[in-house]
Amino acid sequence: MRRFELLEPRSVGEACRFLSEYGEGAKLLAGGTALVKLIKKRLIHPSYLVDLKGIRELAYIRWEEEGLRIGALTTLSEIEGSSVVRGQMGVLGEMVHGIGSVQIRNVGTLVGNLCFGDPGSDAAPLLMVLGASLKVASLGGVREIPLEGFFKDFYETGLGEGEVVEEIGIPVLPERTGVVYLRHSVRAGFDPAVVGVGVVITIGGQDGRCEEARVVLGGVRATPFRVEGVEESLRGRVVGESLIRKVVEGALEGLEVMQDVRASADYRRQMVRLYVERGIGVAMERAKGGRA
Amino acid sequence: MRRELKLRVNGEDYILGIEPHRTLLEVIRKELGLTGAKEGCGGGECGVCTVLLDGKAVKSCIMLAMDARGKEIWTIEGLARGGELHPLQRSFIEHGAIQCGYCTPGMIMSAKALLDKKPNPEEREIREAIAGNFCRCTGYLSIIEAIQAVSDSRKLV
Amino acid sequence: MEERGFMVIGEELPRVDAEVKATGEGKYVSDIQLPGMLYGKILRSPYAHAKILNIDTSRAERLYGVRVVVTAKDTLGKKFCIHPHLANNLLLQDEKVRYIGDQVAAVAAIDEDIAEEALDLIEVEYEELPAVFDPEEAMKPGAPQVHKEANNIVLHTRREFGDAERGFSECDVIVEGRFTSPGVAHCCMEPRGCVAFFEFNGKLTVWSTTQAPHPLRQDLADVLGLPISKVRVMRAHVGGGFGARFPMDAIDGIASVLSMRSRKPVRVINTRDEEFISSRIRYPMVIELKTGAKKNGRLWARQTRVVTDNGAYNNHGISVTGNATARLSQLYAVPNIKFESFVVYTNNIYGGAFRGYGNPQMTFAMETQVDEIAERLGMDAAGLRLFNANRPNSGTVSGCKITSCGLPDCIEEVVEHSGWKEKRGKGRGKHRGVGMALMIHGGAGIKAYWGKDCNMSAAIVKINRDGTVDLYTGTGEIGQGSDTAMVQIAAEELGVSLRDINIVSGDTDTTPPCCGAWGSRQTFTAGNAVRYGAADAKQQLLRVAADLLEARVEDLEARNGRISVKGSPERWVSIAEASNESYANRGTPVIGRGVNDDPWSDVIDPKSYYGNYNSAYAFAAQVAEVEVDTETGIVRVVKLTCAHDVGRTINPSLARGQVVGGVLSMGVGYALLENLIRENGVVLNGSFQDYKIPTALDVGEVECIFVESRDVNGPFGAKGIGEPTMIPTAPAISNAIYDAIGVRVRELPITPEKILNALREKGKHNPR
Repeated sequence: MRRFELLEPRSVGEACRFLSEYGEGAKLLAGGTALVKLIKKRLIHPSYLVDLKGIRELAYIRWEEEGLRIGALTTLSEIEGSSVVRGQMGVLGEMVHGIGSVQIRNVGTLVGNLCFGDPGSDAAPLLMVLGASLKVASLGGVREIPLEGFFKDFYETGLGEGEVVEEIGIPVLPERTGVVYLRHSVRAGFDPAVVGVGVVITIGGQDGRCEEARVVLGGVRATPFRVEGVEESLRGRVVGESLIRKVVEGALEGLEVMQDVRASADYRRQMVRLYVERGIGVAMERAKGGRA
Repeated sequence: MRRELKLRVNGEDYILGIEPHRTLLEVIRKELGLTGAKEGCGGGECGVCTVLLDGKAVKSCIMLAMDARGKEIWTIEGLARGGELHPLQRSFIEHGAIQCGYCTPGMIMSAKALLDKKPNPEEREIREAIAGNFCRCTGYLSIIEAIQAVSDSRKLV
Repeated sequence: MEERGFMVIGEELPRVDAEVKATGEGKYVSDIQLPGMLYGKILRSPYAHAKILNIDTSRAERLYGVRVVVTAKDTLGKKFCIHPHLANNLLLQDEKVRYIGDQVAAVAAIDEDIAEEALDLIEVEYEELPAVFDPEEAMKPGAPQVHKEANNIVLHTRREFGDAERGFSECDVIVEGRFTSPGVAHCCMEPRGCVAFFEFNGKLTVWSTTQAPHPLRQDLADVLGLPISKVRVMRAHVGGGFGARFPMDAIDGIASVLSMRSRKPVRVINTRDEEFISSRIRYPMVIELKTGAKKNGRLWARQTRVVTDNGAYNNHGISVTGNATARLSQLYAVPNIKFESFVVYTNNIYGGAFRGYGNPQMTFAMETQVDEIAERLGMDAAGLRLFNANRPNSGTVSGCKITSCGLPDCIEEVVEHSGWKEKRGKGRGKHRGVGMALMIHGGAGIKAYWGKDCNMSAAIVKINRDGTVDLYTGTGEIGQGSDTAMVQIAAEELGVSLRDINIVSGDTDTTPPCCGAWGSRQTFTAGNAVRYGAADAKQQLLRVAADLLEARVEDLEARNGRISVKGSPERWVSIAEASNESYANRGTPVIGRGVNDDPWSDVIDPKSYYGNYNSAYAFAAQVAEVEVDTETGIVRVVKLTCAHDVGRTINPSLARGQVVGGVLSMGVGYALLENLIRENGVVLNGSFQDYKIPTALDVGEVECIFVESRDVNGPFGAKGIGEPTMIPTAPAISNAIYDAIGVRVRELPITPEKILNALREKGKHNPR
């Protein structure tokens, strides 16, 4: 590996100062499972790493009235094993369990996963469909970045220079809401998702019609995105099997998806149809069953 | 610029002077001469570099040595005590779970991390615990059997 | 062969090297540290085809920490290849580079980071040339010339046995198909590498990840211009082979050159990225096959056209293709065979030896068509195979002499253990199915394409005065357990326990020659040499014991550490006593010599292709049980039932390891997952994330049955098993897929997408 200096800030403020001082030559280091690999493969050459791991206050999982707040240094294993997460937002633990391998989850962070911007990230589409947002600090103060709009391109996010993510907040879901994350890959574990689908459905009224629907696709384009066509077709309707099939076929007709070494566009499209259908079905069941 | 690094490995303390870009794997292999953990892919994928950090399995080839400060590190060399093999090592040998041996140290450490936390795992949990450790020789079944056998033997106690 | 209880043959004894591997003590090449050692890196071509106009190494040489930079001019410019008459590869290219990843220069520095930086400072001026990546395109007139051969054809072969035209005219059913097999990477957990140390006395010592220490010694001596006695290949543990490290890899020669120039030990190890882009892949093949049968089920004629992508340089291309086509006449002893094969240069990675050596590719085609024929004839696929199966002491139209053959037993065993009768044709409703495939392969190495020097093995057995034994063999222990097997064979022959034997293997200074670990040869070939050597040592002991016991040599036997009179076991001396007598009172050490010159197989006549291909043949039958998810196309291999004819099981645990490892770690991957995707010579999926080998979550159940056909020439009847285990797996799985969902995919790997496409096609032709 090319040499770099390691900077160890004691606070977020100090981290921001380092970033501002060293500019483009500095990169943030959390768990490092993505970053160290990139440096070893000589894809990036930072002169400074700003190691956040000394800022222990950034590792936490808190459930508050507004929702779940997870500190930037919380590892995927900690999220997976958290009774708070299991109790309040089980779908998050389910999704995290499928990421990488035990060794990666023991070190990698949820926020780090999102900031890396891999198109096959499982966290990105789920957190986006949950309406999560990042609390980001810089020398100029603190701001909130909703995940929707955060992902710009392959491995490119809206995190600005000099900015450090402090936490991710996931708003509490309304009553009668079901959430699910489904993913598809060829191997049973280990693979990044070829297709990832996050679905949130809120039902209401006597007949349990769909009041709100959010569907986010990951793994099929450079960044995750909302499938507004599907969402619109579900809103206000009573959602049953035949409707799901019709909606999905119609809205996904000619959907633009990428072709890469992981899968062809044709196969992705077929899996998108399959998993969006399944996802809506499961989310509906969960909404009826009153579980998130 | 070298920096002082205090590491605790297999119950022993070391004080080293290390440049920050060195990985934990490089340091334990080169500075400490513990060559059991290996480099197989350099990208945290194959798992032959697996060691335990505070009891958790981690891929040492993508971890900076500096980030292991203050943690208890265990490698394969720390398992056998006083000339006696650890039950996992004995079980791997008895079940024919070792062929070329390159994946073995990492595989055993992942198994130890699992059994230390969950002494009687389901088969699915064993497979998940070693899903990040590739083996090209054995087909995994003898490895799963070897781990299961240690877990079963502990049930009787 | 006497039938008596064996002491150690057939016992599930733990490997002799298990403990050092379990404790992490065992040293592999990358663990070797020598004082003053330098670290080497190789500069590789970014172009698939280009002229090298100029190389300027001056900036690299000036970098702090760099000790030497070498290019072609620092070598003797000797070409190397396992087929010497076809050699066109160099350690470092001088005029042209011919694939992305080709070696151009190398650096040795005080650490790896500096060596890596130095590579960036080497300035190479290339003139890019048009390149060709498809073998069919490469054969067309006007295609870019990779070497000097016309139409980029390394070898064009046409052969016939019997009369194919008449044979097909006599068939009642004929099936035709086109099958493709992709580039597959070995993915040994340990990357290739070498530590080389050239000392002032002119002696080169090398620790290499090689599978074949003695052939490597020879190859290095040739390419470096050294006398053979000045080259020593040393043992280190090897992290897997599967053919990837056989014999010399450029990395061994390059490390040696770096050491010769720097006069320091130099270690060069491939990164995993380099492993993928310079992988000696399984030769990609396009096989057009036609099989014909008579209405009673007798397979009567086969015809094939094979196009092999040789890649940029000659390595094993012609012999892998030869092996693939040889099996056409062997499996089921089909009497009318016609084949045409083209081995073609392209600017792709060049292939190498890979478990099965062309046979997996051909067996995939052959065994798929046997199922198709069974269906057309309305016959059970297992019954058809049993009817056609090779029998013991039989021949083939190509001159093979089959001695032991347990194929019929293998078929019966898998039918019984897999639930064939209950499951075959019954699972469509649940998308479940079972499929069978057989195979024939060599179980004893081969000298077909080389000379008499290519399948020999020798062993020296020294009995120490306390009755313990030093066993010296030139074998390559690469994880398969050959050290353990050799020790068991020696122990059985000498009548001592495993614990009493110290094996020294693979070190060329201290062991006698053996051609190494390939061709599933060591158990048979080296095992015989070890047995002969042990028998020779035993004879010497028996002569001494005969004096001590006042008996005749013919009346003595050695067992359980004792030499006793047959029938009067109370008259005995210990082996230690006999040995000590020889040393102390006769001044004669006990040293046994064993040489196996493989008298049973032929050096095949390259014009006629006729002769006995292998000294012993391995056979197997496998049944795969699969469940297909018809919505995603994902195939789950629920169970593999495998029956292997190994002649005699030396160590069931080791043999089982070969089967389970061969089918799960490799066979399933070859069938469903693995494809080294290349586009215009660029490897697109060169990482474990995107090149998919099975993980612990991807593997199902395996049941293993060993058939012991007791080969007349094998040591205690044993034959090889290393390669056979993955040869029938892919067609067993694809035949099972057909049983489950009624579609056939003839392009490996059978990915979920191909399954869905095939189902869509089927839907078109059979609308419900």
